Amino acid sequence: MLKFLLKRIILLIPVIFIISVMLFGMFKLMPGDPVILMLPPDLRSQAERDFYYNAYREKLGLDKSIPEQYVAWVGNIARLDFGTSITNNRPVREVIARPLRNSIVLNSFSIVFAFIISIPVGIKSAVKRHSFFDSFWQVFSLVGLSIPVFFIGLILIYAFAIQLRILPAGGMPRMTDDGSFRYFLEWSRYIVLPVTTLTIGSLAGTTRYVRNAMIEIIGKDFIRTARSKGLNEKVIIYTHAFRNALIPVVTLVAGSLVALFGGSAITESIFAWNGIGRVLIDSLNNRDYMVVLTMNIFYAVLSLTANLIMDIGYALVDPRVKLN
Amino acid sequence: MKKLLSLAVMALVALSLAACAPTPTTPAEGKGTVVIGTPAFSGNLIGGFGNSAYDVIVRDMIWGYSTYTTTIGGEIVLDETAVEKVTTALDDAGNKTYTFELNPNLKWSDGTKITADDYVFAMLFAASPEWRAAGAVSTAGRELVGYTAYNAGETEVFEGVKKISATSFSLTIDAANLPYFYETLYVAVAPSPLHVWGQGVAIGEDGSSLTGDVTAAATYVAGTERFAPSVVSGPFTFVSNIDKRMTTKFNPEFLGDYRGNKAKLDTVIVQEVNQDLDVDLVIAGEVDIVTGVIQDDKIKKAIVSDQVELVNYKRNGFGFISFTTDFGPTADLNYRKAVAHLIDRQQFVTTILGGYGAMVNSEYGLAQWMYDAKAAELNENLINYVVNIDEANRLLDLTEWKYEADGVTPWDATKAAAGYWRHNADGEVLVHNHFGTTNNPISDLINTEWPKGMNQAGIQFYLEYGDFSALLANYYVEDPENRFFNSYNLATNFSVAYDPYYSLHSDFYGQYSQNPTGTNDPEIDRLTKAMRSLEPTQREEYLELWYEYQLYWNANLLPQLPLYSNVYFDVHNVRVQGLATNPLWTIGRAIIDVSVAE
Repeated sequence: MLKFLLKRIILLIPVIFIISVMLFGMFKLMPGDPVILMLPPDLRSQAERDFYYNAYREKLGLDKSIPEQYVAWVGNIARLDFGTSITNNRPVREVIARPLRNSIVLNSFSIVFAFIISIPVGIKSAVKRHSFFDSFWQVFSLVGLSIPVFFIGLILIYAFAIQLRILPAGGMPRMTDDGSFRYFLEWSRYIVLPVTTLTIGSLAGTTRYVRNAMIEIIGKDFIRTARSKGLNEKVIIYTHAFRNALIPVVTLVAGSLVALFGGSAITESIFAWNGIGRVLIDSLNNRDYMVVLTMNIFYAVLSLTANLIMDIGYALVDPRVKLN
Repeated sequence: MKKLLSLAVMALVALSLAACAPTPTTPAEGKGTVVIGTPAFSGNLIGGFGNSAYDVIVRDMIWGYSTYTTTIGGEIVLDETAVEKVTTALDDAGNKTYTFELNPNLKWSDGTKITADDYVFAMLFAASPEWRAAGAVSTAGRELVGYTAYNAGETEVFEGVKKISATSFSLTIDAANLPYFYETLYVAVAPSPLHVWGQGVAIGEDGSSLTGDVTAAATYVAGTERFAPSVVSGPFTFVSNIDKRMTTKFNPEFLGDYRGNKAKLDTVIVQEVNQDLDVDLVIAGEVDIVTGVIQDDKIKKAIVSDQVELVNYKRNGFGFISFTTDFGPTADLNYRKAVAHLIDRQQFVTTILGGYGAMVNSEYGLAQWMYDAKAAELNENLINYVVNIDEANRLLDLTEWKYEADGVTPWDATKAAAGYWRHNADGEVLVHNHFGTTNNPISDLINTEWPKGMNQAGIQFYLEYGDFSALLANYYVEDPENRFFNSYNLATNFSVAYDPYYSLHSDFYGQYSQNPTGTNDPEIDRLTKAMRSLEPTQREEYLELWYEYQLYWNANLLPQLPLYSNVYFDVHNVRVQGLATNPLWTIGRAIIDVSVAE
């Protein structure tokens, strides 16, 4: 296992290098000059404008050749210096720190709730196929998959914030975080709707996934054998069947790891939640390359790590899977 | 008896003393909280670090006491709360010195007195090379004597700035920048807190320089104070900026704005909100004020709601199509006037603004005092470019583009249709290339409407979509060897200082970041120079020149085709009282007069 891990980590390096070159090159090829957007409108002469334009380009390292910029960028990343955000005129680290935290919180809740609900529901739906319970969740998951997430969000806002006025329509808690129970309650009010939106959105797919995996396993011969041996139904389902259905679930969990940090740009925009998804969209629109590059490299590393965790997870769950 | 009388007198004296003694006053305080919803802001609360109009809302709330300021009506006046007296003097070289005597009772939000040191420091610091090295773009002091050398770091003394005493300082405008109709803006300076920003820094003995480690001060301010000013001078103090929500509180040390008015509110929160739901949030009571609403569906929703009220005002600017007057077919005035007759401008007001707007026919804003004074004459004498295919073809026949493909046969308007294009004598086909930004209904409407008229006039029309930074790159002609587009659609707002010299005078011809239309016209040169070269008191003369300029711009230049001017709506909850915004008195200034109903 150790050998396998080491080998995979070493293989990550050239993969990340290739991804970084591709990403960097792609952004540099995009038309439009971000520095133009930074210049104030009251500059009076071309000389003044050129002066500040060149000063900004020099400050941001944009006056160097593209390979030089790449080397400088990689060197800075190694020192955890992710550059300067053009839009905000402050270090990228500062720009993404809090939104990243907010997104992790939001996504953690929605992922946990989605799994807590979808796994038992998926199992029960598979066991009680064609029952009312199964039909209800089949329809629910179909509707949930069909309706766009933003529409779910808007419906919830309309119902709970605008009509009933029991929950806020969006934004972040207005109280300062003083660690009090009152702050926790206030914060809870603000997170309920975005978490519900995300949970409904992911619940539909996850439930169907678990259900289908369980149905496949329940139909296998060894389950029939277990039943004929007189084992308790619960033991058959949860100890034998579910364990074998875990492999697809491991895939989902690993995918969720990336989603945890990924932000949900649409949901965050609808609810004005200060998350990393919105920061990314705004940065893309404003040609804030440093922010976008930093986050994309981070996601690339995260995806590769998630793949590794997934492979290890398979080996742990299924003894037939050998890591070497 | 005598004892009794003495006692009585003493009691009387004591009573009268007590009556005359000053009644202990509780410090003034605001009441209530208001939440202003805005689009995304950056959080730069000191000027020089970005162009976000929403940062400016909070900056206007926390910084005050500028020597000259703008009124609700958009006039530039002395802030008599901050300045007790101002005198002017001209020297032999024509340089003009403004000497300010400050109100000795001004205080920062931490109770420290505001003195001349703070004003002088503000100017010296903002114009210093160290501030520029810290990443700021500042043009403060640009018009004063000695700016160039000081800003370049060639000298430590800024000649045009001088501290005279603890409550007095002077600023000297360079003669090269005079006369100027808006000259008081050159000496409009607000104090910066020397005791906080400039720790280790002091005003030099000569009163015109800074001593100490200015680089460290600049780095500190740019890195820390910029995002969270600890000491301010305005009606509100900065409290926090967390998760896209800036909180400010009533500043009890603030003496008042130029009218002597103090804030009425205790807390004002500026918060980023979803722009699709902003009016809904006001109706629901989540947010109290949103400004600049132009979408007709939102406006109608607000009008029918009994939970909100609206303040509306005409935009001090307009949306327009900008032509390149020195490149391609648009270099010919007749061509520009012709294509102006090929698009129905009213459609923009009706379709996109839902009727909440107006057309303008020259380079003015409906909120300008000049327009107010001359509206009737302008409406009568300006050419109103309406759809007129015949007129367009007549004008095009005056250009080089009057032939069929053979370059000889005259182009025949009776055969007009898509595919039957105009050509010049060399057989080159007439093509008009326009750049419009994506996700912009104006661009979409231009792409739909303009070709209808263009086809009737034999012009091939292409619209290319792109993002805003790509538009600017082309608009400012970043690549002169590869010019391609003949027009762009943008919008503009006018500031208080209306001065078209920088955007149209031939002094800036070839500098497309200043003069993007490439205008080079002697009459425009004369008019723009004449307008700005008046004394601030010559309002009537200015008005007449401005009127003459508008007529000429409309009939003989037309570097842009105005499309629409919006009516803006500021929507506020019914509990909010006293909101009186306009294009020149925006929410950051107007919030001082706002209160909430109990």
